[in-house]
Amino acid sequence: MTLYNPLHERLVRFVQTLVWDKEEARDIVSETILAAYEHFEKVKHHEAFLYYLFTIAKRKMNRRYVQQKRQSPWTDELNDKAEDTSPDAIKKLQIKELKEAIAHLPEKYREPLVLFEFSGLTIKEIAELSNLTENGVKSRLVRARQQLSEILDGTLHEKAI
Amino acid sequence: MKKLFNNELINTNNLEKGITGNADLDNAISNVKEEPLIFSVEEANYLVENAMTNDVTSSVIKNTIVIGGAVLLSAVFGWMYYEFNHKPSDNIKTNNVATNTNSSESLNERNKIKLSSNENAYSDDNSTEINSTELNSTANNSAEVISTSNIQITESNINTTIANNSIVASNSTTTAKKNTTSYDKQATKSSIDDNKKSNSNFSKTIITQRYFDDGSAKMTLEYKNQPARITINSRGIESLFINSEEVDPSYYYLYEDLAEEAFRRSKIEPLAGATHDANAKPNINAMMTGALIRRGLIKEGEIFNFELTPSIAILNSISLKADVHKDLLQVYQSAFGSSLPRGGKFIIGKQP
Repeated sequence: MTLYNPLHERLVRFVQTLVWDKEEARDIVSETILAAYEHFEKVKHHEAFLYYLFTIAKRKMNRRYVQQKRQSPWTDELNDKAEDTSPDAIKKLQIKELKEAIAHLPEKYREPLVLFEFSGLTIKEIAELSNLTENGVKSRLVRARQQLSEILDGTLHEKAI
Repeated sequence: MKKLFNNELINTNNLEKGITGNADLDNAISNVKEEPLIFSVEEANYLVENAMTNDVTSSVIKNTIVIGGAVLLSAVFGWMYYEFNHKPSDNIKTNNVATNTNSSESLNERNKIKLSSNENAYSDDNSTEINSTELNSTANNSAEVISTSNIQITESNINTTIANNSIVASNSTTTAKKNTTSYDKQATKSSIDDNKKSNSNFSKTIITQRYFDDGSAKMTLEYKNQPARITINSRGIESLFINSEEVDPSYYYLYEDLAEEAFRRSKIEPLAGATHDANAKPNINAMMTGALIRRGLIKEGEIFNFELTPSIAILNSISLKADVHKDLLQVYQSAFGSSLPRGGKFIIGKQP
């Protein structure tokens, strides 16, 4: 756990940003931890533990929620909350809307963005994890931000109609 | 309605975390980063500690199973070895008894033949044929004996005598061996039971197990020497009480073995995973995907198109068999809580 504890928050943020269902996200986190623990002997260098842990989490999410991205994220519950104009409700709505927009990003942009913005991984670490060059990660991040902005703007446009 | 995000241009040059150039987006990112964690580090530590304990327990169970299995196998093989070794004597016994009977019969018959032969020393072919037929029909399996000469009959009688001796011997040994074997089996079984009792988290006795019309099942069983009451349906755990205290759904994952045991015993398919909160909003797509995977219709991670209507099920443009379709309709009903309405359609993936 000495290796794991410093990475805990990064891992949980990564999962909870991409998986909306709290219970499912908890399942994935716990499964990831257990899988990492069970096959810990595979980690030859301690420095590699971060990549090992996030790779397991990615696989778990891909396996279990390959279809989730196709679900319509705009739920009735969210619509109800949209009528609430309190600062807290607007904050929650903003979070939900951002997560929806992230879910609509292509996978190749979504993952680096979440790892960079929410899990706090460096560009070098993301490059290592995703088998990309650092420049490749940078360009994906820029495109991810652009697309995120476009999606959010599009969402607002649709809602205004 | 107030705009949640403005349409400021994204800064494409700055790749500093949380600074996109769009103030609202930056604000939202920081809000997401401030969200409380769904899984605390204490829970993670507890999970690993628990897994370590389980590992020790499972290794003990594995060892016990290996030893128990070896004992059981040796007992079975010993019994089989004995059975095979002594089977021939049993066969001899049976055959010889038959031969004995038949041979005596055939002897009588033969005498008859002789008599008839003697009496009809000059009989024609037809009479001989009739006698032969009689012999065959009377003696059944002893045709060979009947057709043999007197010397052969004598040999068979000798064999019969020897066999009779062996019958006694084999009978006595067989009885003795069977008793031993059954004793071994009982001993092995009881030792396995003891091991199970000492290592398992569960008692072997189901105290109650009831099924309800809505497809749920409620059972009370002993879990880690504490009474546990669990109500499950195909969407997961409806309620869980350990030692009369209700377990918060967010801690169901800690009782995975209990939930899995409950599903196993009740034979209910856990569509959303054994420890899922059945009262939480169901993810029908994930449930159906899981059901398709468990049925071997798709592989994990496979991208597929699926369409389910009350009349047909189509997977990757291929119509599924009627029994599979019926089964998947049942899965849908269990997952959704009501059957697919007439004219309704459930779709996963893009349809052409």
